[in-house]
Amino acid sequence: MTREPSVRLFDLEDASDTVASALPVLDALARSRSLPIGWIHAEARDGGVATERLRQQAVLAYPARVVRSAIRDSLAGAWAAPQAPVSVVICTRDRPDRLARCLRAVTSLDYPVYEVLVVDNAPRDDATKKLAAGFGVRYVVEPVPGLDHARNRGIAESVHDLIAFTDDDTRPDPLWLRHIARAFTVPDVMAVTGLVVPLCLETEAERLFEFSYGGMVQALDRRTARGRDLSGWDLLWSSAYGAGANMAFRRQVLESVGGFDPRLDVGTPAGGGGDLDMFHRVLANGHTLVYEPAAIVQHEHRTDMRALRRQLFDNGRGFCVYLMTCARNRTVPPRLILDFALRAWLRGWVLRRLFRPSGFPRRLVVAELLGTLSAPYYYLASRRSRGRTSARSG
Amino acid sequence: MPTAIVQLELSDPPSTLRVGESYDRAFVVGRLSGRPVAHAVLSVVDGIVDRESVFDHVAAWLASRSSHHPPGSGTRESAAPRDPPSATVAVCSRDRPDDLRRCLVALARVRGDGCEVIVVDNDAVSPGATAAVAGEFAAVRCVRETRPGLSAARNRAIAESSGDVVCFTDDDAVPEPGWLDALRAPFDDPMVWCVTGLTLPLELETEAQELFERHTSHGRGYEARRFRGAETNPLAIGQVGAGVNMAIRRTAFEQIGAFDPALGAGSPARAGEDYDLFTRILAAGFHIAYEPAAVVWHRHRRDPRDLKSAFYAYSVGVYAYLTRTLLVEREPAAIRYGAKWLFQHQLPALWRALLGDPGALPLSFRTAELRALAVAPALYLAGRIRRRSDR
Amino acid sequence: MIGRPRISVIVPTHGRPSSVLRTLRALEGQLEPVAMEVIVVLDGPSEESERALRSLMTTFPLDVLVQEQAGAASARNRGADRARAAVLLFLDDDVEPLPGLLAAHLRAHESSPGAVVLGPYWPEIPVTRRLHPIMVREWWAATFTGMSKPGHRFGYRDLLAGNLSIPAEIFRARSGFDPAFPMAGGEDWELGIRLLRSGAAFVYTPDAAARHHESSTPAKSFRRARLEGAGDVRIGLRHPWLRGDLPFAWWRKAGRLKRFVRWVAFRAPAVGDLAVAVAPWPLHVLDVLRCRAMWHRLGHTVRHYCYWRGVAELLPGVDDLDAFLDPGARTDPAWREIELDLRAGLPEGRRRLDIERPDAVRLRYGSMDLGAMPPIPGLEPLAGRHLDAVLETLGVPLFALSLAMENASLSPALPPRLGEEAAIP
Repeated sequence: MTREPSVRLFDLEDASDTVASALPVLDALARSRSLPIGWIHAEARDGGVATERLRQQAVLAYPARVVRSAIRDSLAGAWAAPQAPVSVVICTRDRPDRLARCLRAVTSLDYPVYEVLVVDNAPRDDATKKLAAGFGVRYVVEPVPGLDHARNRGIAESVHDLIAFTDDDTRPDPLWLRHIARAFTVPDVMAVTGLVVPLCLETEAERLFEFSYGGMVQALDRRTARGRDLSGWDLLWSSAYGAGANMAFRRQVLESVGGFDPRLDVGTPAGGGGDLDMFHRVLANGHTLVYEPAAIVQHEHRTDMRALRRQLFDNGRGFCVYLMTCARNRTVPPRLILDFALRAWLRGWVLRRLFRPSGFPRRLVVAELLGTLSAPYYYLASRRSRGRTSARSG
Repeated sequence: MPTAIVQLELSDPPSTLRVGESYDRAFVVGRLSGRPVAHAVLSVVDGIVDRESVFDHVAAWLASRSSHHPPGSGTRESAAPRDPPSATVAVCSRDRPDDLRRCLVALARVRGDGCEVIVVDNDAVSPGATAAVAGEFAAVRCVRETRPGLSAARNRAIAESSGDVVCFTDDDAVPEPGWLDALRAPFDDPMVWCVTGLTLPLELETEAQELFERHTSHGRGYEARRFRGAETNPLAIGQVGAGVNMAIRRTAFEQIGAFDPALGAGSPARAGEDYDLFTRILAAGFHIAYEPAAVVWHRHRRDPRDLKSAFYAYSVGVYAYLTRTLLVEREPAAIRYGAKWLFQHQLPALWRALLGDPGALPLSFRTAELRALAVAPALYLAGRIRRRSDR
Repeated sequence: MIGRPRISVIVPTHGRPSSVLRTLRALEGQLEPVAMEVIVVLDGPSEESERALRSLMTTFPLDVLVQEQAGAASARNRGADRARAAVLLFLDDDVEPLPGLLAAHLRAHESSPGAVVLGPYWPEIPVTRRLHPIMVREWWAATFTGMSKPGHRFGYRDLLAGNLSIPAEIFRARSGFDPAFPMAGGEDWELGIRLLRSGAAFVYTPDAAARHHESSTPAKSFRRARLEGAGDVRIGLRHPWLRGDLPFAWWRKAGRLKRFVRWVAFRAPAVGDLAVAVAPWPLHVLDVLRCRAMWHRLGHTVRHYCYWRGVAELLPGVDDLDAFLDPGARTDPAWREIELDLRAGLPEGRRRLDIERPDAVRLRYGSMDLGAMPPIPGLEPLAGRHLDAVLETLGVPLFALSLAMENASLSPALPPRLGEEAAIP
């Protein structure tokens, strides 16, 4: 049931003659060693596309980025490869098929020293455990349901000082850790996030999510966010800095700002926002976060419209629960959060697309709006359930 | 924590960019064959500027100049350079002998085939200090202007000048050696009456200086621009530049008059005299060229109290300039531009300050701006009346 | 008399004695002594002008010719017939040469033999805040600045006869201006077309500068627009292949207001002419109130009408217009297109353009098609110096191409240090 990836990462330096493609149109993200360049879409003939043609397309569509990547590669040639050991934490819950795809990629990364840790969140059976054993990776169980519980367990169990997180429905690029570790060579960088590229773009839901909604993380330019230089709105738009499918932290920052908030994210009534809350807290405490687009993780988007609608509902819900959590944590003044929620999120993001359609179906926007409006209920519910679980675990 | 100022030649990027240990950020200016191309503020750890970011920016800046033509390939022929017009450099100074000395030392290094340098001594507190500093430099002529105010001092400089163009800079600024050449080049075109240049911070040692740079940056970008009076509204001068780095054809003053003494530092209106002149040049249908290769490094105020008064002064100056434009130049668009500034810039900034945004300036700065709106028209008129009674 | 002059200055005039005298005085005041003769052609007899001119004592030989009024084209031709020098310099009677003008024209002919030399004549407009003079000044400045750019591709509309010198041989070989153009209106452009077709090069010389004493008003600009409309039709009549590129051929697809204006020009010219007659008043009011945008819109619309009115003078019906513009009724000249492979490098591309001088060029990079620059009727053939502009128009990312397609190292293109670093494994 796991699908083969159809979206390619096309290296400009690719020396082969053709790139195979099972589909009539090949969607590829062109990139060089150190920089993603841009999307290209080429018609395939006889099950493949000539690399020459892909290269031509990339150059004509993104000339400045091609030159930029060439210069950056030539500069990068002089650097020593980073060596710092990394712990990779993968939180999963009863999805051994997808996890297998993820582990295949993660266990063969182009990086000298790293450990892989699978955190099984409230599992129903031992399939995941067997799978982990088969790949020879570390396996721990987190019995309390909730992604952030699992992440915190991963932090506690991991051994290295750099901790990278990804989800079970992803496939990291072989150079993923290399770029993450390279960004961490600057001592004051506390968090690194990367680009999330879809695995497949075959269904309407996938294309809508990636190209109309804005995908998960799409920026192709490197960005350094220094917490104390950011305005309030910049701090609150933490979805612009990355996503949980592709993020890494220094252990010390996780310790100093406290771990992931267990009242948030998948598996709790909040349904999301744990990663955003963490980015926000890292930045609001004045730390530095680097978005490194060369660190690429491919992610399987929702394939059918119902699942996509559900996801957007969760996005709206999770984002607003995250905002309410910020207000509770007093990281920025609550009146600023209210201003942000009304003017930036509701008006600038949700309602603007509702009233000025941009090719994105209205009913999906409505789902996001409903998620937004239901957030207060879920926020209270997640606080109550937190009370219960802590009573149980205590 | 202070910010270091670093320059970087893109054609020869060092593998490590070092600054003093005390800095935690660096304001990095990239230059390609000497021409400024872009700048960025990057992190510094242990005196080393973040290499990843340096290389990223070097690549981006170079690529932005070279995806079509390789840099330095000389494919863009430019019209043969012609003899630049003769220039007079005017520096108006008031009770800042130390700054003035630094400025004059820099001016002595400016390439300019022996052009004339005039210092206008506008001292109020300690008469004689400016003249004493100017006296240390053989090539500098010092004239005393007793009427207070930057406009009066500049008008005096114009009256004393002999060059075809008068180049202005301030005593707290440091021009580069190539400043004069770059600033004079666009005067080739007879339509150009005024040239402005790029102003960058000389130092960002105190928080006040960092805030000043971030919130009221003089920088007008790195692309040469042309403002044509026949095509733009003469009030659209927000991107033109500022009096700290500009040159004006001397004949222009004969045609459209000199600086308005009721505007500018030292008058009740405190600022705005440069904007007023830009507007009059554009209203007469001539061009203002913005030339980023003409670089002046400006030392912002170090003291936070000065910063607040600078914000207030700037605000008063803008509204006073708009008052003048409305009443004297009879431009009804002044009302529109004033409203635009108030509603699109000042009120949103005030709102952010009220919300407690960590990136916003303190509330008191913003309320001072509003106070400026209330008093500026009256202050401008007061300045005019005072001038009339002076005469 | 010092033998044959090197340059014959021809000044056609029409009843403006003080203006011509100013031009002659300025010729007298040239800095470098140049063997010249001056021929003033009075287009339409004028006692006053003739007396003033004949009584003038000049250091150069001065001929005064008189003809019945027949337009500037015929006056210039008449002057050219009389000229003895190898270079003809045409100056309008309201153009006052600056002291270096003659020498600069001659220098340009020495460095580019056989070329048509254009000099700027900057309008003498007193500094004002009235919009019309400002726009006139800007128009002239933009024209001359545009021509001064090294990559400028000259077209027939750059041939302005106010300050223009041509080798006499070439002028006569093309049999001069077309006297069918009665008033000032398109005769210079028409000559420009024939000169360009015959392969003459245009050269702009900023040093050959003059002052232009023209006092334009909105009303005059409306009259001028009308002459221009008629002149463009005459150009199209003489050169049918150019019809599709005349301005009115493009404007036919304009928006609603412009279409209405055209309709008025053809169907209700009486109404339109009345509007033109009163238009200066509202324009003045808008100017005083500084309503710039409305001033521009109104002035532009009225000028647009006047232009169409000029077109309608010669093509009275819309049917005539359609027949005139019918592409089936004309044959285009054979345009020469070449294909340029940029892989050979820019210098090579420039060299080939300079040798072949094609009207159109198709760009390739190896096997890759980068688009084509179509022929533009009325422009000079492409030369090497136009290549950069062509690349820019077509958006060809040459450096990126050579990097990615050739695996070219950065070293020759980028500054040295970067190249070296690229070599480090």
